[in-house]
Amino acid sequence: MPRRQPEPATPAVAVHLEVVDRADTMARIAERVAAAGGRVRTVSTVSRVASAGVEPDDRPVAELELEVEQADEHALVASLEDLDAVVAIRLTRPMDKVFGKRVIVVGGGAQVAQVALGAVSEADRHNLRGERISVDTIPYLAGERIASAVRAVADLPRARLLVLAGSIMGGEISRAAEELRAAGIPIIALNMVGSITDHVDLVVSDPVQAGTMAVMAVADTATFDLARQRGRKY
Amino acid sequence: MTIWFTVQLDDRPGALARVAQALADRNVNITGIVGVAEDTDGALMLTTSDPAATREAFAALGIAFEEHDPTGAEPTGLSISDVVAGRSG
Repeated sequence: MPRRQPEPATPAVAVHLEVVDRADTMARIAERVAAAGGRVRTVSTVSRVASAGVEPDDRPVAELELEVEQADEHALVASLEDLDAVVAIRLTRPMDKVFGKRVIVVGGGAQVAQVALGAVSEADRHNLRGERISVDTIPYLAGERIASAVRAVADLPRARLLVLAGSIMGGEISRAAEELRAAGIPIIALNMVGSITDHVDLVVSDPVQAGTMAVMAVADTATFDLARQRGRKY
Repeated sequence: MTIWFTVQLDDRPGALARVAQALADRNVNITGIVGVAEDTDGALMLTTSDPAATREAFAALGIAFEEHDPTGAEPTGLSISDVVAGRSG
């Protein structure tokens, strides 16, 4: 698992494609991207529309979102546009330019809501200054599910920090927390019962303050260094 | 039942093309795809029109893969990283 980098290493070109939904379409698209020297950052199916069968040339169509690094925007679009499988193509914005860095809040609903209050309020200040920071939340209760959610944060693109909000966490959640930190994603936890407070970077008692500090820790326009607070409890 | 396959792609241009071509050669349509190289090891998740032929294609390429049944609430409780790392829970 790669350690999380603070920013994407290279800018990406993002395109939205409507393509004929057939077996060789993805191969042709991927070929063109590779021929352009591009590296696929993300690819995802947005939707599939079956053929209406009304007109003779009705064909099933799929919508794709594609982000490509190391490619010239105009050359890539021209190359993809030329494919007979491509029905339509338009440039969009890469997700890091839209949603930016992500602060993830996991735990009990009441505490998650309070952390989100602080995090969203603080993110607003930085986003007004041109940054892009978003706050993702999921209220969860069962320990096993929280541990799975903690591990899954490592799979979330642009996740930069996790806040664990709850009343009691430990055991498998603590093990998952260590794994996530090893992947390069720091964790702030509320002060709570259980061993989790020994397995995170910072412990904060006030949930609103925890959310605020979480956003400050990832913001470029804040002077707050989480590394200098590591191991502390407030 | 829809089966999601997870494969680990090499981090180099053409890696996706190689997999997509192997499926196309078997007339297998990719019906859903989610791949994120950013911040990950390049795990690619996909569903196809023909799971059996998909397994053949991966085997022919020598690519390790995992299968997931998304109909269960939490069939394994594992993340993509778990699957890629071969953790069994």
